[in-house]
Amino acid sequence: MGNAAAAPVLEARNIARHFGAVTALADASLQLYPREVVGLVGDNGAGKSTLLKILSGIVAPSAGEIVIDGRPVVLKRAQDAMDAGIETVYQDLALVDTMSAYQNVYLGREELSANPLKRFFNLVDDRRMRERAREVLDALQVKIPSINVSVKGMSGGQRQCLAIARALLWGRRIVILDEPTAALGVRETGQVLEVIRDLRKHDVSVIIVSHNMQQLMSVADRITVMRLGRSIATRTVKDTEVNEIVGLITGAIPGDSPEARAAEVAA
Amino acid sequence: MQTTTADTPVPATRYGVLERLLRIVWIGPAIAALVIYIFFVIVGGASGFFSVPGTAGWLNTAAELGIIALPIGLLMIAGEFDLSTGSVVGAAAIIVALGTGFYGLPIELTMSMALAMGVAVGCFNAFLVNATRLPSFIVTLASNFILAGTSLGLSRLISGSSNVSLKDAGWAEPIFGSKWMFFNVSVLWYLVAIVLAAWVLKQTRFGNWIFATGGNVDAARRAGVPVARVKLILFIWTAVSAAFVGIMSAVMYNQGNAAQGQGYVFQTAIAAVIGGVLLQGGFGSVIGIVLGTFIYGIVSLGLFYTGWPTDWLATFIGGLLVIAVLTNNFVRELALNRGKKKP
Ligand SMILES: Nc1ncnc2c1ncn2[C@@H]1O[C@H](COP(=O)(O)OP(=O)(O)OP(=O)(O)O)[C@@H](O)[C@H]1O
Ligand SMILES: [Mg+2]
Repeated sequence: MGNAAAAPVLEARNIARHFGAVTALADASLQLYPREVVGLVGDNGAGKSTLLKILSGIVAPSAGEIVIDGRPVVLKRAQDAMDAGIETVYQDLALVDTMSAYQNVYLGREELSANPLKRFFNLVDDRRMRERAREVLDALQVKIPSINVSVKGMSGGQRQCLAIARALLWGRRIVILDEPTAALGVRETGQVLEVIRDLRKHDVSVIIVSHNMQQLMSVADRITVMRLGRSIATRTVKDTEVNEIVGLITGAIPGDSPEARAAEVAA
Repeated sequence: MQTTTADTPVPATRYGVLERLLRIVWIGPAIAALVIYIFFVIVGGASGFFSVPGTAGWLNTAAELGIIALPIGLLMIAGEFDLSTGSVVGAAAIIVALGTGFYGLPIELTMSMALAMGVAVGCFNAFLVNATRLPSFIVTLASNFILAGTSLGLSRLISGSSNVSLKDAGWAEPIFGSKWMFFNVSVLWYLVAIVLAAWVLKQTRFGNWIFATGGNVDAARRAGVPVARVKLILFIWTAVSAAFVGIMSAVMYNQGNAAQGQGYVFQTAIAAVIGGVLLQGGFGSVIGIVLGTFIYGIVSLGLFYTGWPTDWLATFIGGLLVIAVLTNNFVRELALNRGKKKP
């Protein structure tokens, strides 16, 4: 349930991005409200991934503005986005195969021991990290065989959930997922979607790209449709249906903004 | 057998004793060390392998090797190589011998110079690796040659010889050169190095970063691990340890030789691999590396006690290396695939 009364936690305003002569994004805008899941859809090459990369600080926009909690921000590096509370779960998941689940969840942010002497010697608090990791995974109802075992043997769904759990544990308020279920089986997809739905309870807002409409309708509050580098329409899931979204994607149904229509006529 | 259903809650699988043993990271090198040790006790026991001098012999060898092999192993876990340690040993030894033995400079000064040289070499290696992204194998091979030539050239230029004696190292003598029964003090230093390495690798944040850097650099970087700094510290650690061994040998044997130490280049890497460190990075243990150095020491000294021609040492070690790599691969797969159900 998006909280439309509140101010958006994240806003992308009229973002454009050119790669040489290629216009990946012409004019894309997006709003994300607290505890909301926004689905981002569009045909191949519509510019979804490019928009997400801009929001995670990996690609710089050619024009436009990103606003977080009402303040304009410039995301020059991935770290800037993370500092701003945005966690991106990458397609390749960015897990270290040889390390255990809890180590992966805590990687780069290992907790030091509370004991001052141990702290002085830089000792990490393994037990606490295990406990916290287990808590978070339980809270998200992520099922993995053991948090002490290397993630190498885990399934795609389990790995995806771990990556999401990391975002939660690190106190990120915005989680970005680019086709998180693309490589997963039916049951695993169900598990991941369940975890995404649950993120709301933890005060986290989500942007998710997917080509699976049924799936998106089941997890998202609102859906923003992109076509040819533009965001052409946004619909509340409750008040729309798959056919309308598909029509918007393909162009069978015209978009909302006059520019979008103009672009269509031109194309 | 049905296909894996991942999202059903999996009760903690119970493993048998044997299977649990096989999952210990350093079980391979431990078994190997035991078997090899028993073998040489049986074959070489009569001529004294099992005696105190025999034991001291292989422990001394393992210690000098191990002080360098430990950071080499950690560096390999982080996914990098360092082939420059050999020259650093020689350079450190010749710096101390020339400085104190030839010029009569105070030992603390020349020791500091040798250690500073180690830091410099480590920084140089790390800088090249981090800045150029060239494989460390090539970078450190190059610095090994550059430094070897420089030490030899300078030593000849200054003293007319590649071998310089160091009669009196003053207070450094007992610290680096003393013996107890037949055991060199280097065994104690090795113990210190082991505790340090074990603490860093298993207990600290930095240790976690070492595994992550070697396991998946991109993931580590994205998670905010300062990958370049991890490598820098490890390259410095390795080179400083090599300098330390060079200083120690100069004081212990009362001489420094610019050409000494090249044996360490491959011996340290071999010990680490025999000890179960994954060549591609991301996997290994301090106990394993220590066992690797023990195996190296036991074989090189044990062969001597068997009365067989020691010419065959290299053959033996090479064969061992092949067997070690094969068994380690097997054990590692077991250890990493815990929790994965067979499809
Ligand atoms: N680095 C790049 N250099 C040049 N062109 C690029 C680059 N990245 C994206 N593009 C182009 O920008 C357009 C938008 O690509 P993008 O990956 O954002 O699409 P997408 O909506 O994610 O598509 P898909 O559904 O196939 O993942 C495409 O035409 C693509 O070829
Ligand atoms: Mg894409």
